[in-house]
Amino acid sequence: MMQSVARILVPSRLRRTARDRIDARYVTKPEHRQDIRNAREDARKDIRKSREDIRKSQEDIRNLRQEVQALRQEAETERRRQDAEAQQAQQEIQALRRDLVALRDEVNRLRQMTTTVNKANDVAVRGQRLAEQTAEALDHVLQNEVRVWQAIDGLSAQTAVTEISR
Amino acid sequence: MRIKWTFDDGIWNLAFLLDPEDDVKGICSDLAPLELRTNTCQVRLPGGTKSGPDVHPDLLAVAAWTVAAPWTRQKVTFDRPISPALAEVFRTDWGVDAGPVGGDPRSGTRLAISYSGGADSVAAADMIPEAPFIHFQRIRHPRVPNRWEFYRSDVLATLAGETGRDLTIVQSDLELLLNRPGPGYPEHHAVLVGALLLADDMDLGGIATGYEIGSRWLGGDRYIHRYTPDNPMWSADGKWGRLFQAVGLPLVLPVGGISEAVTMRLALESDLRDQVRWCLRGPRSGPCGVCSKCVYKELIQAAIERRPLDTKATTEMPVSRQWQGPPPYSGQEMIEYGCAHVPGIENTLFAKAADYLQATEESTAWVERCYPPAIDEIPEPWRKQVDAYIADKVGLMTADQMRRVETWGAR
Repeated sequence: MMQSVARILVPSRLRRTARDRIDARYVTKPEHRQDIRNAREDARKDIRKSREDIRKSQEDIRNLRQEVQALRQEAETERRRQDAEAQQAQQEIQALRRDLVALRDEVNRLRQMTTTVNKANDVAVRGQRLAEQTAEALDHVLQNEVRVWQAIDGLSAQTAVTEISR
Repeated sequence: MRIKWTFDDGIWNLAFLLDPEDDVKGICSDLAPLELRTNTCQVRLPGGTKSGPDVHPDLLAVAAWTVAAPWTRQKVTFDRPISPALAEVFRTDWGVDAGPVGGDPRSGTRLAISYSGGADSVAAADMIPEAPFIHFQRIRHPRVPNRWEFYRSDVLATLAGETGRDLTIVQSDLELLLNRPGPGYPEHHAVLVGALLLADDMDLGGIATGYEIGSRWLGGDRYIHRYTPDNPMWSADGKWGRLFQAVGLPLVLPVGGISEAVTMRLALESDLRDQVRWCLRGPRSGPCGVCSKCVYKELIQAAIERRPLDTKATTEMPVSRQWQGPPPYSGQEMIEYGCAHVPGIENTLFAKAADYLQATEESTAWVERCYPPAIDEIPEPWRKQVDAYIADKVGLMTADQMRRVETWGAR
């Protein structure tokens, strides 16, 4: 719009001077070109850097993935170990439970046996007492037998005397 | 009392029937109250006994009397006639009318020893080494349940068999006739029943026993615990002495003048020391060590060996109770002797007795010597032998020591 204004209003020299003044305030073509080249170069650098970053990130991701895999494996191993331990503990608990049952049976058996022995002992003590009492009672029976014969002999002697005197 | 003996295959069976005035309660010659259990018993003679039913009736009469005397009040009727001399002893010494009367008195020549296996009879055996032994072995009574199995008469018989001496074992259940105070000889002389029944077979003219000074002169055992020159059981002129004399079997007490301390020393120095056994309970391997007799005899043995008492018995045991109170004690002369001679007696179960008795070696010295009248009492055929033995191995008491004996129990 300025060009058309100048062509219309301003002589060529003036116009040139003016134009020079105005142009001084703008970049030159070569400079512009250089700028573009620079910008392009910068962009290329950025792209390269980004690519590098992406590559690095991808490597990180791979590493992390490996790490995660390792951890997963480790976790799995640990889980298996714990499972095995838990199973073993379970088995031990079961074994203990069986032992406990067996012990309970044994205690019951012994308890019964004690009862049986005590009963047998009671029977023996009662038997002993009975034997002693029987023997003592027999002593009296034997002694009474002596007395009974003494009385019978006394009576028959009296009867004999009575019969003779008749 | 009516006596009936039957003989069957080496076994003499005795039955006695009480007359109306007799009683199942009676008194032993040592004054202990007794009670009869039953009126039958047996005496088993060893195989090969010849005399059997032909044994002199006087022997059968005295044998029966050793178990029937405590229950008899006035009169005894034997199943065969006894000699007038024996009937006379019954009449004068016992106040008992005995019959029927007839026949001659018996006599014999040899001396046998009534051998129990204790220290006293072993000492008697050592004095008269040529005399045969007759050992009484208790067996059970067929009518009486045996509640006394701890009494090891089998062990005592085995030990007697191991002496190597001429031995006759006579088995009998007569101890079971006695209900109270428990099984035992109704009269002490019942232990001689075997010697009586074998007297004709063995031509016996005397029976030696192990009754020592305590039994013969000091009123020991369960008798009156004082000087008893006229002891009814063991003096030559007592009622039992005269009875045995009448059947030609005078009682001979070779150790009648010496104490249990001396008989033990003699027994442990004799050839029979390995067979000496005063414990009635222990097995063949050894005495029980804790019965009353073991503890009493241990005191005596410790005293003669002048060593501390070695016993498992303690003051707290029932066996020790008899020595925790004041005297008199059974066998007190021996308790005094033991307390005076056993070192450290104050730390034993005899501490209290020692304190009561205050005996010293000097006050008990008489216990180590023989009381001379005991030798004079021995029948003439055997007196010299005993006298020589005593002079050689014991020695006689002095007049002062004799006075100890003759004032015993006088307080």
